[in-house]
Amino acid sequence: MSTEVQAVLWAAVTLGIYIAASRIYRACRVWWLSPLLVTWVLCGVLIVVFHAAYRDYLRGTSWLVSLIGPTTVAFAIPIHENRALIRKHWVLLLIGTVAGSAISFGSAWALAWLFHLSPEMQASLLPRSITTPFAITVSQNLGGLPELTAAFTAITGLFGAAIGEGVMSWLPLRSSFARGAFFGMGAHGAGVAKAREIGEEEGAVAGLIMVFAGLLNVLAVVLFVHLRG
Amino acid sequence: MSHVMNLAISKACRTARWHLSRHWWLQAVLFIAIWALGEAVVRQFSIPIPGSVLGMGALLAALEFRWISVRWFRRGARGLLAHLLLFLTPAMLAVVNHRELLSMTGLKLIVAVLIGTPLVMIGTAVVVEIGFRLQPSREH
Repeated sequence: MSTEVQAVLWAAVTLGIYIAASRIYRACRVWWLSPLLVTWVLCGVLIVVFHAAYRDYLRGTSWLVSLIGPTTVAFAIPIHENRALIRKHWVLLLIGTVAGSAISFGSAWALAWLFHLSPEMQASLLPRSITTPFAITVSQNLGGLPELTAAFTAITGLFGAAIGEGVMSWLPLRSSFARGAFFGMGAHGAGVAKAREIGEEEGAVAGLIMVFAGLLNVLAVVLFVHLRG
Repeated sequence: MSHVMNLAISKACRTARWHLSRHWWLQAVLFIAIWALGEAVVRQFSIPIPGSVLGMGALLAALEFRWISVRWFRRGARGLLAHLLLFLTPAMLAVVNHRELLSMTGLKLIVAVLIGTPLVMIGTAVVVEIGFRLQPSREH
């Protein structure tokens, strides 16, 4: 089979699985049926079973990856629509973003040190708590492997969203901001979806913390790399 | 004659705006254009931040100063953000090239993610809750 035909086929397979998985997930909302997980695992199994090369798979699907950039631009819209909330509560949002980023980097660093992970793996693990488009950039700048970071980030989101409500019931959180920060910082995209189920303000705060944490981390790492020269 | 031209142009503009505020994929093309422009500017002036972040900042500024209407972007943003997971999947599949992860290292990484995630959630929420309670009393 020519590589062009293979490329088209892989794109069709990926889209087909994603659409079917989204339909199924809409009918029964359990975390292990999340379209992200189902598409990832099924495509991975198909690649391995057919002994396909990853670069042949990517030849057909890299156009999907290039839409990550425009989607990052689209984060501007939720920020713009919540500008009243930001103006009123920017202190709390800033505290959540800075504290959350510090805890996520600190915990990843400590765990990587504890487990004797290589510097490359450590750099890939560090940005796992921020939303993937930003996490990939941070990983690149730190000398990690962006594709592994994408995988760790996805696992973080899925796991965080799955355990979130259970863990939260143990915490005496009176403020909707704390509940939003809990999900937005801990489980980025998947967490924001969960936070929206809990409440409107929780969802908005989670989304804002997620984007702010991404921006803060990218800018901090870019500055760090720039200063180190 | 110029009057007729003017009329035709303004009608075309109105039609374009009408379509733009209704079709999410047209709006998605706008986002792609902003991103491409951001990447070009970043490369041209060797700015160290990603072009998408620059494009996002520029779009925020343009919306804030009301140079453009958010109606041209709302549906496109919702559409793109809803399918972010699909765009990420091909990158995540690169793990098939990392068979070394089917080892102790892979297990350690997974355990690190599984321990780290609740830590981040609890830590962040507790800090924000304390910040909230320390604030001068506010209706909530």
